[in-house]
Amino acid sequence: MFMSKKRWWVPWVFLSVPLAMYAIWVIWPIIQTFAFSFTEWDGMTSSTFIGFENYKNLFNDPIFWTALKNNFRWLILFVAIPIPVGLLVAMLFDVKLPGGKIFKTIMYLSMTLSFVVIAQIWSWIYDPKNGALAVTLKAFGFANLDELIQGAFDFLIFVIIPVIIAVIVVKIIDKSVRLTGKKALFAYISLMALFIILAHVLKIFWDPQVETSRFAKNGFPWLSDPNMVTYSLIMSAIWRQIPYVMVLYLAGLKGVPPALVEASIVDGANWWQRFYNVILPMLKPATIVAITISVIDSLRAFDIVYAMTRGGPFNTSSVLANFMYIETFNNYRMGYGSSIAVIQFFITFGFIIVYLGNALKKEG
Amino acid sequence: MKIKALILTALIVTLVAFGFAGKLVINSYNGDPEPRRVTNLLLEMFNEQYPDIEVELNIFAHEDFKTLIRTWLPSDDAPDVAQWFAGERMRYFADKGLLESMDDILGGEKWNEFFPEAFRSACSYDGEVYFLPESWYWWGVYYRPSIFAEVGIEVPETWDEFVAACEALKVAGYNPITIGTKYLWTAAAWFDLLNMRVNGLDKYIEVLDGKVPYNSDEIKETMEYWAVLVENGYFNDDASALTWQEALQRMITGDSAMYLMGQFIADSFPDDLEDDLDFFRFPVIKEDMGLYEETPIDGWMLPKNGKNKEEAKIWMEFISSKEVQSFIASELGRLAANKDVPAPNAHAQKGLDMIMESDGVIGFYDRDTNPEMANKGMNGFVQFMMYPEMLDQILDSLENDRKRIYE
Repeated sequence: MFMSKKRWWVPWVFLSVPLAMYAIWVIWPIIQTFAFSFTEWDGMTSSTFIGFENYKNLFNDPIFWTALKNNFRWLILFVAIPIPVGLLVAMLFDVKLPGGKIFKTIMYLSMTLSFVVIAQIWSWIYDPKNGALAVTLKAFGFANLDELIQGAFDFLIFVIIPVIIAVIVVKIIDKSVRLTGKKALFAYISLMALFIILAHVLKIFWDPQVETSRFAKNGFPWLSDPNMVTYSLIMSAIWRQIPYVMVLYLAGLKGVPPALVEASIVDGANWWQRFYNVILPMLKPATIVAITISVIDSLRAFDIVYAMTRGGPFNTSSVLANFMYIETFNNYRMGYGSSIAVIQFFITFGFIIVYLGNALKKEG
Repeated sequence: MKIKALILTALIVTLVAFGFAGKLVINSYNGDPEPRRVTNLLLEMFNEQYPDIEVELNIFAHEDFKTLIRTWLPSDDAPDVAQWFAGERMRYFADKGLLESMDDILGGEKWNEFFPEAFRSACSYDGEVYFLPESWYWWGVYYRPSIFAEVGIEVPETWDEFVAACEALKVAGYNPITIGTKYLWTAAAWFDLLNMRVNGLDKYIEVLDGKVPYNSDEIKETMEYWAVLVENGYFNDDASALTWQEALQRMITGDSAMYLMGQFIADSFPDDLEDDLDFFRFPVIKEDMGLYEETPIDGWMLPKNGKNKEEAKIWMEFISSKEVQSFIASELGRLAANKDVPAPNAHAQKGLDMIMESDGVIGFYDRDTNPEMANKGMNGFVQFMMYPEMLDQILDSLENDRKRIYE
């Protein structure tokens, strides 16, 4: 360090203004929220200190548990879907294709829209009668959500699983008898066809039915079926999250040196080895950022929920932020709302600590 | 030093001068295009009559206003007059000492010069007038006469006739009753009217005041009537995904025949179909029970922390007058609170007649009960409309909320 000890205060002078702003607009409200959470307050008259009463009520409130569960649904799906899909799309766009830029721009457009606009668009898409989704599915012959779910389930059991079994069988055969070129292709096609036919024969004797709600039998209740609504909301948020992750990965891919990839080709690595052992490790910083942002975005989920359902029907799609808003500004329970905010603070804080710990370790 | 003193004096003089000129701060929630236009015209009228009073008119979006008013009222610069809703929502503020009584200009006999006696209780707190009614509307069962004619049904008057009409409509391939419960309050209208038909006005006011358990026999009996409609599938089953306007679309396209709604439904109904929209009184369930209706009243209140009390009262008298009330009524097609103002059109006349024949009125569930109870209650009603078999559980849970909120 070449800064003289006498001038230790210089950085603090520069920091003082932002620090003061941070203290006034971030730290102080957080402290206040903690203080409010121990009171009963309608926001107008004076408040009364009630100790941990709000937290006791909160843990007995079924809506709190619904909201918490929904927050974790958001969290899991927000990491599980946008990150692999975003990576896949980024890999596709990284290859120079004719018209690639146009597709990239189209893909990226949803990212430029605000959540409220997205909520409005998806409300129209989800309209149970005339929405784009319902109309399209009807054109494909699905009369209602129940048929769609049953169709998807049947496809999984009687097509996808047989195909996977076929692939595994070919791999096993491949171990003892080397299959090459046309022979391998023939083995794949014939075995897949065989297993699919076998599965359909099995279907005559064993045809499992998926249990859906009564609403699913009457149409496409994306936003009105309590079992469906949270997933419908998450889907519309994911639609925006995928291009976000894509952009992060595209930037990351620019940082992968082509020489490294070429060297691995020369060494005889196939496409999977190239991806898994060379490119993916190089993308680790982008992955960490993408996961962190997705986790934080999922915990912040509010705009989509508020604009599309306000947490309804009867709070089944509520998340903590939305629950807090309704209790505070609709039901005028500032203390109770603050206690929800405190819980959310600790959940978010936990994730941030993990992230910071990771980041600091690297710097240190 | 001298210069500073001079500036200070000048400042004080200006302030005092402005003070003498008279100032009036008005906060209004008429953010929608039509009400906003009328409010601005109203201000012009006021300026012409009282050129000495400098008016500051702040118009807010309806939902923002509801949140913001809670910060204005207790603060030092509260507006001098503010728009609001009669009933419990007004009493909530009066009870906290944030409103000024208007008994000196509207109390006692003076009330009867302007307004019908039936409105007095909704506008009063602790025996004094705290609220000035401007306009009001009624709720009724709106329907498409052409669909009724096609299916061959008469306008139902009793509950049995109503259920029979629903069945006939359903058999004919129509959705008998449309409703959109995304924003909850549409469901509350059914609770209000069924309760008043089954238990009467006095009992229902006790319900609204939080004095009756939600799992009591009275409420259960009410819900059984509602359950008949739900279990027979007379409502659209995607109600919870729809706003009230989206549910109205079903009626405009002719898929649905009926809609329990307030008079403002006419604002959103297409002009070329207006002849094919009519309403009837909510069906009678018990013959010996009086006819009670819902009439939400909108109007003005006088915040205690407002600075210009005299000017505020001038505004109140201005709004009470027959001329101003008939102007608002004719521009917006609502009913004026002033008793001397005639209904602006035939549709409004029919609504006015219905209310005049009735034995008593309330405002609306979410205006007349505690806001938190209203939120929990309406969520419960929406849940009930989706899972009628869970009724007992829902009512028990509402009862827990009621106990916590009121006791």
